[in-house]
Amino acid sequence: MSQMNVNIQELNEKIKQESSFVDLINLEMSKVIIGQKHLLEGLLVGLLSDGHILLEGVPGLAKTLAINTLATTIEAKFSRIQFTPDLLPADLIGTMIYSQKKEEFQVKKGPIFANFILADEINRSPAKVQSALLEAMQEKHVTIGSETFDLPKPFLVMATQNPIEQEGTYPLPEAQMDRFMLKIVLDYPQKNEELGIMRENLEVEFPTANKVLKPENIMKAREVVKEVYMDEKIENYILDIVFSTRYADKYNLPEFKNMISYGSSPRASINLAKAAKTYAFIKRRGYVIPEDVRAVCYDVMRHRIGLTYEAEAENITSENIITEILNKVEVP
Amino acid sequence: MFRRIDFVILVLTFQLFNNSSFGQIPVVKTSIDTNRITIGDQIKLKYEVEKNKQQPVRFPVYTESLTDGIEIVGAPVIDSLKSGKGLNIVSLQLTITSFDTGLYYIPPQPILVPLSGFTDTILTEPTYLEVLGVAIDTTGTIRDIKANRRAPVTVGEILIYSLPVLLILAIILIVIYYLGKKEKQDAEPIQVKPEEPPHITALRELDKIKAQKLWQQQKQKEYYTRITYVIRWYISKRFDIPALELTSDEILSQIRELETARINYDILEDLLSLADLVKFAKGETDPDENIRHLDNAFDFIKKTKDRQEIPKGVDTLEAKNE
Repeated sequence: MSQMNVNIQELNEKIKQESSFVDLINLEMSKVIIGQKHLLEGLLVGLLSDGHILLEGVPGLAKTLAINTLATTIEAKFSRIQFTPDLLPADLIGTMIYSQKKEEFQVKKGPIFANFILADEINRSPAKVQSALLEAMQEKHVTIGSETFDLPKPFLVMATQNPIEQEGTYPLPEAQMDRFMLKIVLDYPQKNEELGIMRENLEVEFPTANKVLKPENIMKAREVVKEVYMDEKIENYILDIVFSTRYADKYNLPEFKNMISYGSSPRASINLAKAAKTYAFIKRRGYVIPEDVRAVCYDVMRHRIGLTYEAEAENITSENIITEILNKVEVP
Repeated sequence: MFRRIDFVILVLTFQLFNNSSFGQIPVVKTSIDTNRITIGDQIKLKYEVEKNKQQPVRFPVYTESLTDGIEIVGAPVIDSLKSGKGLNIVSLQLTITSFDTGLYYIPPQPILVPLSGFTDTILTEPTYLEVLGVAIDTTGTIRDIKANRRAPVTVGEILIYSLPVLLILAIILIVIYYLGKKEKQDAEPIQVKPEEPPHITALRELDKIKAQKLWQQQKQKEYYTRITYVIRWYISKRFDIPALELTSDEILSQIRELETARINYDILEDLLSLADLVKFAKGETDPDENIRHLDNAFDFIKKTKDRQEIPKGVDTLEAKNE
């Protein structure tokens, strides 16, 4: 071939070098986690895009183990917070405690001061706790008393929701769901994968992951991800996908006009572009191709499409709508 | 002297009867149309009083019957007419009937005549009425009751029944007319222009791209975008794969499943991969590559345009020979 444009070629080389740690992380994580490739990719996309992840799946699908292992490989601090109906915002972000010895109030930081947070069953806590977490996710700092504290970097929240047992839960409002960059839906592992999981758990010593990275490496990688080239054609492709959720009839999808109550917000376009760039980085490429957009489209869009009662009555899911959109929107 | 007195009395008596205002005694006369009627027949009974013009008379007041068995039909009619100098006749006419056979006696009717200081009563002459029944012919056959007489039919009645019928008929006629018209139209052959085979269109578009000399003008991105668009359009038409909505990898994975296109898979992969680089990564190509890929695009279309599609895995004699 071909003589690539110098900048892109250089960028490609740079990204190949900078993204080499992805293989290391994958290697270490695969020692502990069997299967769930999509979850691991999603974790990396969220981590490198500075986004947060909402995870939906039945219990026992290695959600906690995955994020714990990721924290281990990066030498980062990990906190697991079990959200319960009696949890208070102070239990999450911390509070002021009076020290009799010093005769003053002292700040007691909450478990949110960690690099990786697993907010387990986020929908079991009331709205005020959810809001406290989501505000911290957005602002990247919390205020305790009169003092504001920055959260550690990188800061990744992986919140889980259980799709069953909806009684006594506080479902996240759509506006707050929008703050999660990705919503990953986990399914049961394949039969051969589950065989591996079973054998792994029967061994005398459960495998552990090694530390292969430092949080600084992640912060540096995030900067490199921003450099990944996205052509105008890809930008337009992303806009077409997002706009088709808002104006379905203009995109030859009249059947979805009455199925979508509200289309995706501009956060969808922003996060789809960011996630596509990160996906290209994970695939060790310096530029985004339509495959990258399609690969992250479901996770970015599924919680950003409002379904009408008609859609629910006909068992049409947001995934069905995304599939149809991807089948109708012309690829550049 | 006696003669003179007698004369005076006679004159006074005469004067009394002749010159007083009530000098004439009313004369009453009774007349009836007939004394014999068939049951239910109506006849007139008339009482006439001839009297002095100024003399009032009062007839009896009748309600429904004249006497037992004789009914009065309608209201009595009182009339008067001149009869001579200073006289007139006042009459009372009754329409009577009877619904029972027999002989009826009509008694004298009292007519009151007020005189000076008292009221005199004059009685009419009595009469009778014989009511005969209807002779029944018992020898004949029994006949049914006569049917009701029909009233003549009006225009309004005709319209009420005929308008809905006419309306339904009109609708039926309109439907028949339109069905006939549609059938006629359907029967008419529609001139359908045969669709141009996809390879003809695709080759023509590639010729246009070649003629426009885009890469020579440093428009490689547009050059490859248009070539890949033509190829993807051709694949969508020729192989029924929605290539315009698929990524390069997805197109290649589907093409790999097709026997015809699989033979030319490498050409296609080479073209789409390079085109992706040019389109999405500012990739630059040299002139030889540009010419070669356009030629490859021509080749791919020419080699796949006529071949019978054989699904992958189908073992046919023809396929073996090939």
